[in-house]
Amino acid sequence: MKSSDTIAAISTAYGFSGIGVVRVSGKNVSKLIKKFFGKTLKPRHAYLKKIYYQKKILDEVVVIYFKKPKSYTGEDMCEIHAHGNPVILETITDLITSNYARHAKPGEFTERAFLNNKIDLLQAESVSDLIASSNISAAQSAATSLQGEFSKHIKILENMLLDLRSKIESSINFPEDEIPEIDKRTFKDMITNLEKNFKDILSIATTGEVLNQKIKYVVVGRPNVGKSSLINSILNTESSIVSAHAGTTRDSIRYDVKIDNFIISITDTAGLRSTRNLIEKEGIERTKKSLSEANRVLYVVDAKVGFTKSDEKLIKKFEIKNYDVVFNKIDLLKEKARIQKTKHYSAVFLSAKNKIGLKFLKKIMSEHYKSNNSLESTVIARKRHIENIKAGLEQLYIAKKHLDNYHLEFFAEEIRIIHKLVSSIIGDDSITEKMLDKIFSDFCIGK
Amino acid sequence: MKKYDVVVIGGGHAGCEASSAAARMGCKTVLITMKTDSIGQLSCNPAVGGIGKSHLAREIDALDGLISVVADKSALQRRTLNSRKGQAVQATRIQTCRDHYKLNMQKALQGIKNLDIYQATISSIISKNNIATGVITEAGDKIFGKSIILTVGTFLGGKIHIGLKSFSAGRAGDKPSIELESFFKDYSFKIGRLKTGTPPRIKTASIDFEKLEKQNSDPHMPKLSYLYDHYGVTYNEIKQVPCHITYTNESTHDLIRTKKDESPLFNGNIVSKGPRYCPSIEDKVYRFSEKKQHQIFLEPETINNYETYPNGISTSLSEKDQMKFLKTIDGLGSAIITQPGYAIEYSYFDPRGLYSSLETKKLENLFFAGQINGTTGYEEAAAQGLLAGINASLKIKDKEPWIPTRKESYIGVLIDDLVTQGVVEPYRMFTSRAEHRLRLREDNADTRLTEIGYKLGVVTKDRWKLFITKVDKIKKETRRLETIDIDVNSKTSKLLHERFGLKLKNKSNLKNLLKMSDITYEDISKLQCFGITANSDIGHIVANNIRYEGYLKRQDDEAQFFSNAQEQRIPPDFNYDRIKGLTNEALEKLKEVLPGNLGQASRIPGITPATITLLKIALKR
Ligand SMILES: Cc1cc2nc3c(=O)[nH]c(=O)nc-3n(C[C@H](O)[C@H](O)[C@H](O)COP(=O)(O)OP(=O)(O)OC[C@H]3O[C@@H](n4cnc5c(N)ncnc54)[C@H](O)[C@@H]3O)c2cc1C
Ligand SMILES: Nc1nc2c(ncn2[C@@H]2O[C@H](COP(=O)(O)OP(=O)(O)OP(=O)(O)O)[C@@H](O)[C@H]2O)c(=O)[nH]1
Ligand SMILES: [Mg+2]
Repeated sequence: MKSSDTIAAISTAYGFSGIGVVRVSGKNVSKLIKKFFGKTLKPRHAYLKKIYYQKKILDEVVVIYFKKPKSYTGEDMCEIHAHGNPVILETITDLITSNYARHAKPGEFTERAFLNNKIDLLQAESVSDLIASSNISAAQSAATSLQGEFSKHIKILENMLLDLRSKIESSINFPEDEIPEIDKRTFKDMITNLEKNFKDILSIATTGEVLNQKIKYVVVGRPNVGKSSLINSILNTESSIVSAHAGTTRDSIRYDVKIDNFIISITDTAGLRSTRNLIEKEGIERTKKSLSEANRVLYVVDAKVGFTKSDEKLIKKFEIKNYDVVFNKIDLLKEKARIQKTKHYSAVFLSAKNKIGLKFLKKIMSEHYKSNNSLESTVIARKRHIENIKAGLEQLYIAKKHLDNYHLEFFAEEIRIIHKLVSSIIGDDSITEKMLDKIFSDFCIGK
Repeated sequence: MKKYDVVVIGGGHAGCEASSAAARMGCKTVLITMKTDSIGQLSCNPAVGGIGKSHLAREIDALDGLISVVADKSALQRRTLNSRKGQAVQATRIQTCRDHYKLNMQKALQGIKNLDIYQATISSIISKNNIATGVITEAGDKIFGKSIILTVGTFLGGKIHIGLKSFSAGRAGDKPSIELESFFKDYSFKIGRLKTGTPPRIKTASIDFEKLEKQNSDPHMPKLSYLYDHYGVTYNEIKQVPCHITYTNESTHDLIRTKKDESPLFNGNIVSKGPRYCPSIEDKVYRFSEKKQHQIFLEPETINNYETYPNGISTSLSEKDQMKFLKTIDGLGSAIITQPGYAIEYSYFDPRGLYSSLETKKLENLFFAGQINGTTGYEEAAAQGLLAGINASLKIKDKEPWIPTRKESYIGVLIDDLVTQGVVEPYRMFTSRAEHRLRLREDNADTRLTEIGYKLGVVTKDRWKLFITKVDKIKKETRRLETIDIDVNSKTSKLLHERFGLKLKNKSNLKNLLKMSDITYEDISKLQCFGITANSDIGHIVANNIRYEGYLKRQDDEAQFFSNAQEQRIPPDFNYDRIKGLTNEALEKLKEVLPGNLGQASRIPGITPATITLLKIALKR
């Protein structure tokens, strides 16, 4: 387990901006500066430096070193001003936390500042509101990031640990009961399995998934309203089939698009309608599936026809949420391109074919991006999770050594710490109770 | 009108430790109990210690408590459990003579200055402005005290079940405390119900031991009290009596299966929760139907060995059915029951209504200890009694309470679990509950606690001197080992390589040898360079200290990784409403538990790290 008293975090708002800042505070700061930038820096001076990632330049950054106690937290600190791109900032934080620091908890910089008498209570309390709010989003993020594959793996891992611990602990706590004695072999096999699972999780968690969080758009609407055309003009290519016959697009097709500074994924779908045509039916099934995975929906209508009752019905029927409405083909009406906000959605008036008003759509998209907090906290929560998994794997190697020497109590101790690391990912610390529950349901204990 | 400093109600394990601790601390103390003859009675099986429990007993002993000394003096059979699994999880278990235990306990209490013993049943507490000032006996007498400690065990609203019969009782042969319970109900204390049970007792002469496995004391005769192992005090060992082991079988189980409707545990007569780790034989048979047999320890009840305690078949079936299933068991074919087994339901107080000092939040100067706080077991009760005795005395002297920490002792783990988590089933100590298990060993309870106890005044001068002598010996031996060097090219070095596969890279002393390898003290004592030493007991302690040192550091790191400032105190009158940004849920929980420090706060189910940060900031005010 690494030294816990140097902390790091991205300290500017998430998303794309001119500049993003990574802050580090604690006793490893000067070591880190030396390692990253090759020499010591004069306090309070700005240096232009390059940061490397896998031997390639990641970014050119401005670095400022603050010597304690003359810093925000009162400890040695360093600020790295990079380009305000989340991928870059996350990578920099990653580099730092893989060796020199751990991720800061919400409000931890301020907490340190306060405890070192750098700020007064009033200031601290105004920050405390912030902590309280990030508390809620942190809780949400734990929940969001725990859906899907990752959480499945964590739960499997926890069950394996519970199984192993209940075997170890029952043999320690109830030696007089007739619990089947476990031999070294069994424990060894369990450890080997655990190790494999830890490694699997690490590879899932680190291969891109974490950094490639992007908003998923799905474009839907009745046939022929110009969905494919809209996407094409966004893509600026003619790669998708554009045709004048109703029901051309039958599959959902996904594209990754860079808009200004950020990346989104956008999915074209088959037109929504009730159909008997088997192939189209299949297309509609796919649309449903895409909708269920979407973060945002662009609901396209023909401006000539407008947003009608039957559109409302479709939205209800397909349970479409988080949508904006695109009024396409305004060229035919001589309407002006614009955004019009209503209670439930933003309406964007544009012409896909003539590429008029696309900038309004982009504006809406970048608003989405900036306000997507859960995206931010998911990434951050994941980082903490990965940190725990890595620490767990390290402990596992130590545990193995104790098992080889059959030091049961030390072995038990390592496995307990691993269990705690894993279950704190799920946010549940009641490991003793869970383990006792397992013992008492698996074994007949007690005289 | 009688006036005391400390009034203790109940002469069970909690009451004995509470009253003796208060008296040792110089308080004028009275122990009031229903029947003075039953002071020190072991209501269930006559054994003290076992995994987790002997750890508590050692700690009580390190604070000069009674349970370990009394158990040692009454021992019929002694065993070390887990001897191969590591020092920290190793435990001592002592089978005692029930009669000797009771007598020795009564003798010990009679020998304590400042302590009066008084026979009466208490029916109510006297209180004014939410401060307890005394007690009222059934006969209407009043006895006043500056602190009151309640330790009435299973007696509050006790109800015994045997088969389809049930009746009110405190335990077999004793009345329950009904009036006292209604006092607390009126005061709206949070009261819950739990249950426990006990097996029938068998006339020893009716058992055929011939074919049964016999279990004698371990040859090294392990002790519970430091006085008798590390400190070298001597006493008269009583005659040893072995235990035996037998098993239930399929016919036993079949019989029990047909009686499901007549077991109050399963026919709905008993609804309260019992301990999962101490199931009745009905439970075992119904829940683990795949098991073909269950182990039974046949334990002698007394030195005369008139009765035997069949450990493992606690039951609430009717006496007739108990008789029937006993007869199916090897060795018990002609068994005669001397007392039927039974289940007992009783009331307990939600321990979250207590401060960590064991003082109640509702009534100042009133302390609760023992089974009434939802625990089970003699050692658990005794540990709380001791702590309540200490804190009741400190309160009178206007001093801060002593709150043992989780890092320092099992007593700390016990108290912290109780007051922050509450209980859902009778709480028993397991070593798994202690996150500092490697630190909290049987061999070092005195180094952890005796000095604290001496400063508090609960440890007598005599014991203090004995302890200091041991500490000196440890220091000397440690230093001695440091001075014995082994050269890389010496004969000893070669020997080490041959015997233990150890390759010395640098000159090393014996202390380092113990640190870096699997070599035991015994091993090094056989080396030629070792020389002569005082005492191998001391040597083992020295070796343990060295062995565990590195590990303890890692545990400290771990504690830091998960959170920091655990020990920072939160005053009991701290105003949580003034913290900005707390969620309602967090606020409610904090106000209910009133945690004593940040660590406790963080262990309350549902409290997040962000809440702790807010709390930490608010505390610095
Ligand atoms: C049937 C039974 C089975 C048990 N089984 C187990 C087991 O399997 N394993 C285990 O670890 N533990 C078991 N126990 C628990 C163990 O006996 C207790 O945990 C322990 O004795 C509790 O100690 P105590 O001091 O809190 O209370 P007790 O030992 O019950 O002592 C209570 C004392 O208070 C006195 N008293 C009560 N009411 C009043 C009053 N109104 N006025 C004055 N004095 C009063 C009583 O006379 C008694 O001396 C069992 C207990 C019982 C009764
Ligand atoms: N005048 C005008 N025509 C447009 C505009 N956008 C699309 N069209 C035309 O509308 C027709 C349908 O366009 P598509 O993009 O294929 O429509 P779609 O919604 O993808 O249709 P399906 O995939 O079949 O559901 C084509 O003939 C396009 O040229 C526009 O902005 N103005
Ligand atoms: Mg299309």
